[in-house]
Parts: sequence; structure tokens; C-alpha cells
Amino acid sequence: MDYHINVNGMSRTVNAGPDTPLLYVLMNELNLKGPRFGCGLAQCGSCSVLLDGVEIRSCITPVADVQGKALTTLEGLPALYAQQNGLAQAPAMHPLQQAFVDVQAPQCGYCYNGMTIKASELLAKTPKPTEAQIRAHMDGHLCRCGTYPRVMKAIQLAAARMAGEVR
Amino acid sequence: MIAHQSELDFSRRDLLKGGGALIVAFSMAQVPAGAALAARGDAAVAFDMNAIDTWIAIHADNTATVYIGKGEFGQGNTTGLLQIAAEELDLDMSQVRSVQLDTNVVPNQGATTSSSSIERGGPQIRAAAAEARRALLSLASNKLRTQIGSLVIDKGIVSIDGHPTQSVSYGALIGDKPFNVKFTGTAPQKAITRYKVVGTNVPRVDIPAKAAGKYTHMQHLRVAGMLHGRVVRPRGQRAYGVGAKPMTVDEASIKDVPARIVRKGDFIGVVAENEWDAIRAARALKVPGRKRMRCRAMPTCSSGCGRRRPTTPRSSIGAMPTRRSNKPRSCRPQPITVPISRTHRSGQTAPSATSAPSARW
Repeated sequence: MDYHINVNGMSRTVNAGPDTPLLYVLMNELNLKGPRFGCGLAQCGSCSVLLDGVEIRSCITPVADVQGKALTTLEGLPALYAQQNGLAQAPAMHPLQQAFVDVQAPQCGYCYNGMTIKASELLAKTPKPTEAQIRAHMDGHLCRCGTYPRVMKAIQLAAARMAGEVR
Repeated sequence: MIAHQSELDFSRRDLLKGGGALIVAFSMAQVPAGAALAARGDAAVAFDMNAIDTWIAIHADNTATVYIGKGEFGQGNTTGLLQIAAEELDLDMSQVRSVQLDTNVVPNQGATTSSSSIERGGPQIRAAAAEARRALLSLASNKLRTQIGSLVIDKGIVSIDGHPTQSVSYGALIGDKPFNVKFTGTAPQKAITRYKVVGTNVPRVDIPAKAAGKYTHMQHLRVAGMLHGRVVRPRGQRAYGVGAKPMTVDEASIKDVPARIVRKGDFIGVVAENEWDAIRAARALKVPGRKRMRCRAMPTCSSGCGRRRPTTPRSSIGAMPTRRSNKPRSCRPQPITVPISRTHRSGQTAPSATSAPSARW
């Protein structure tokens, strides 16, 4: 059946069975490359998206459950950042994404969808998180390359930049 | 999408025929400018490994595309191999790029394993780049009407030594045109003492696309006519069909799912146009299996491997008198007859996000 969902500020109509997890709709019907299949069990976080600003696991969330709410995927993060911060124009990348580039964080990069989504959720609410807050918030996002120290470094760098403390 | 599922044959050959390029590994999302790539290659013809055009294309904007046949999984081999190419070509890193690993487009450099991309793939790239540099010098020599020995190169600009205004760029010499030159085997390779790029710490070329969510991981590849598939194993079957063997496949168990069963010997899978249908079918398909033969008469290894546990200390085996009555009785293997089925466990739900295990945060 048809579902009307709002993805990255655009209303989209998709045809899917009611139990279809949102992930497959985003990947296969809307051809988005941000959310991706990791475990299919909400255990790893590589499928994360924001639903009304709150991180959810799209691999176990039925598409029927997200109607009438605002979905943001990795692709929509720069625009969401602009909206949250009253910028006239969306930057090319969210400050977190730029920080991930600058500290050379990703290896295979597969988990970075979830890393970015989850960290953006944190920074939107807690602009200057402590290291402990970052650890607690990011718990549950797995990186098999083991890049956690650089993820931490990048989140701290992005927070400092967003606060205007460093360039 | 393919309209008639019943007409489908799921061989790799047909997938290739129907879908064109089959991209087989993680890939680079950076596509070169210009149409040079589009005109390149047909899977029907293997690349000539001794032709410069197989490895390198020079573009009119004085940049180069290096066709790398190694997978990029985050180990940074693309960046390293581009450094090697840039070094031999006397280009800087901003002037070189690679393309998606695509069997229609890049030469086959063998498996990407064992930390061998640089060790084994590097010399191939280095040789190709040195041959390309040699060919470019040859062209420049004609253009500038001077001997190769009096030419110097900096960032793809060839000039007469001591006369920097008398110069020509790689792009002007051959931009977006093929070399049509085979390896000579005599192209000189740069002495390591003169290296400027190799050995320096350069940013990885794959990271910006990965951070931006524009990188094409293998899981995102979609080719025309592609179906989604899932392997279905009878419970107990391990990789390569070892372990339990399927007895039958209960087609009726997935009659409500628009998916097809694929069977080749003991290999069973399902395919569907819609990925979720393939997943649902794989979960629902009943494949009663049968475990491997094992001896039921004797005590078995506690790990369940089915092997007999020695009941006699090995040290005393030689001293034991051999009597027929001491041999295991009725040790002929008996099949286990309990059917074991790979079915979706009803009521099984995914754990909630809050129960996710802790990462090493």
C-alpha cells in the first residue's frame, strides 16, 4: 500500500507492505545511501535516522509507524543543521561531517551514517558535551574498524567549532 | 525491473548480460570528469595488462585517472596507490584520482587480501605510470623539438631544463585521448631518493565521500534488472553446504510471498524483486534438513561433533589385548531422522535499541 512519509523536508509517497522496515524503503525506493543495513536487529546503529530529531533504528521500524513525522537521513543533515541554527543556506556538510574528514576518522566508513546521526542528535541538545556524555550517548553504535578514538576527537572538534571556540 | 520472474535465470552470466557492469567490491564514488571513462571498456574483452591505456588516462585539464583493480575497504590502498602513480608521473595528489572498482573499467589486479595491495599492486601501478611518463616525454620531445634528456617535469608540465617558458602540459599533449602504447619494459622508474609524494602523509582520498554519505558501498549498488537474494540454510548447515543437508524444500511455506526459490544441489536461496520480500521468504521457507551421519551406539564427544570419545586411555591402547567383543558394537552410522527446519521463529522480535550491546566507547 501507499505511505506518505516526509524525508529530508520532502513529502514522498512509497509503496510497501505495512511491516516493511523503513530502511528498505529509504535504500531501495528512495535510493538513499545514508542509512544502511548492518545487523538488521537494531544492535549496531548503521541504519540510524532521525525521527522528529530523535535517533531511531530504521531496520526495525515499520514504515507505517513514521507517517506524519519528519525523517532526516544523513543526506538531510546539513539542511537540518541550517534550520536548527537559523542559517540561510545549508552548508555542504554538517560540522560533524567536516570534523570526521579533518581528523581522518572513517576507515571503511560503513558505520559513519549512524555515528553522524547519533552525534548530531547529541550536539543539537548538548552543544558542549563532556567526554563522558559523548561516551554515554554514542554507546550502542558499533565500529568494527575500531575508529572510536577518532570519532570522539571529531565530535569534540565539531562541538568546539560550533561554539566558535576553534576554526 | 524484469517483468516475468518465471523467465529468469539467476546465473552470474545472465546477471552480467542483463545488468552490464558488475561492480564487485567497495568502491570509490569519485567519477572522473569528461567522457573518457564512459567510452572505456567492454567486459567481453580482457584488458591488455601491458598497455598504458589499461591503467592510466590523462585528461585535458592536466589530471590523470588511475584505474586501480584493488578494493578499498578503508585500508587506504587507493590513496597509497595514487601516491605511487602521482610520484612516477610527476603529478601532485590533487591531479590524480581513481574510479569505482568496476570489472568493466579497471584491470584485474587479483584479490585484495593479505595487506598486499601496495606490495603486489604497487609495482604494477608504478610500472604503468613510469611507462606513461616515458610516453608523455616522448610526445613532449617531438613537440618541443628537443631530446628527452633535456626535459624536466613538474606537476604535469613538461619544460626544457633551464627554459621554463618552453613547456607543454600533459593535458595538451594527450588530453582525453588514448596512448595506444604498449609497455616498453625500459621506462625508467624514479629513484626513491627523489620521492616527493610517496612517504608523505596525505589525506585519504575516500574519506570526504564517506563522511558526506555519497560513497557507494557495495550494499548500495543497484543494477538494471537486479533482484534481491538471501541464502537459506537448513538449521545446522554451515558454509559451503557442510553439515545438515536439505531433504525437501516446502514451496508452499512461502506461497504468500512474491519470491522464487533457487536451488543448486544443497544450496538453497530465495530471490525477489523487493528486498524485504526476499528476507521474509528466507525466514518463512521451510527446509527440513538432515544432520550428518553419526554413530549413535557410542558415547560421543560432549561438544556434539559426533566423534567417538576414546574410552580407553591412549597410553594403554598398545597393551590391551585385542578382542572382538571389545570393539564398539553396532557402530554403523545411523542417520538422525528428526527433521530440522530453517523457519522463522514466530514471535521472534528484534531486541530494542536500548538493549544493544556496548561498543568500546
